[in-house]
Amino acid sequence: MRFVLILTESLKSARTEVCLKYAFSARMGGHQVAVYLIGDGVFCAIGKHPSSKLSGLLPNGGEIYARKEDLEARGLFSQVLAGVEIPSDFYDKLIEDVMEMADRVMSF
Amino acid sequence: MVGFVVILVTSAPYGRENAYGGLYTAIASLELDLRTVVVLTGDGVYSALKDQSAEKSLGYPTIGDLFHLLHSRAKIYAESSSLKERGLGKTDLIEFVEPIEDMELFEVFVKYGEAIITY
Amino acid sequence: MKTLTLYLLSGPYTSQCTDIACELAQKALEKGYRVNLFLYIDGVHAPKKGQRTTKFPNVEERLKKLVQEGLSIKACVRCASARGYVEGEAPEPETDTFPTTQYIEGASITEIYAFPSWIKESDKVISLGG
Repeated sequence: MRFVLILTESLKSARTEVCLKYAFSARMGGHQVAVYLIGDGVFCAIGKHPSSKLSGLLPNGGEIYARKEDLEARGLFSQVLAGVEIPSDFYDKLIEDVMEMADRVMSF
Repeated sequence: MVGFVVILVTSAPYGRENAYGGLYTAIASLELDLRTVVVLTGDGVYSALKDQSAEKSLGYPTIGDLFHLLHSRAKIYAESSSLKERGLGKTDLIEFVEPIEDMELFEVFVKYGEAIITY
Repeated sequence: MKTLTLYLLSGPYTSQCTDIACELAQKALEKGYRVNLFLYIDGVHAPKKGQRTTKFPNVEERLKKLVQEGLSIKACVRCASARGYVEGEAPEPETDTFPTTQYIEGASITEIYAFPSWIKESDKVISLGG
């Protein structure tokens, strides 16, 4: 199955912990996982964080997308973790994924 | 079209309206014959504690009563890892609520998560 | 035509989630999907008339434009009533909506059952905020 997880909260939020737990469970279960970071969720895309768990998804085939406008607003554009994609039209990509590809959608 | 909904409660009861919101939505979904599973995770597991008495103390409806309305028609799960992190176990919970291990819970999303609503 | 239902639990301006919901709705409508927006808890504040913002995008104006583009908006009567938006006791018989003069055209107040009803008709559901 393909799981799309939409994350709008920053790294240490309780909901982010739930999101990341399920993202990893999905990968462990052999499912495709795409995490879309919007709003404060983009704080999870930066590489400097000593406890950034999200990066653990990337070597295991997970996809991570971050919204450019939210990164720029927060001064994070130059700090994005290698492997995190920044689509030119984030919402187009997200809606396409949700409506045409995803089997399961979770949002936090 | 969606035939199953998973109500995912991540917030503790009473401090915010979220847990009520999730359980009222679960009840409404069942009324419309939408098959429903309730999952309590993170602080949401506190919604299932026994011996709540919010009506007397806060003048709020008691969340535990909503589980009584649900239990014969929906599965209600409390994530075991969230319970353990909070020092809670099965004996702390309202009887209809079942602890569930992480990977088993994930299978609930796979099987029933056509719509997953987070509260 | 596929249907996306968005479910918003946070109020406008307090959280970015309202703007995110508007942007998702906009994109989904542009791509030719049917889009519903169900408002719950503080989400019921989103379609209130008379919003005057100085620095932030005006949610009222955004929603009016989205309604013109085809967005359907409903708000839960329990939440809307608690927040002072419902101006009568009973639903209007023809539309099954509860009376309010405080919402933009195209946004209505309904029983919560409208949300699971929309879920059943939808291909996908995204919840935001709360």
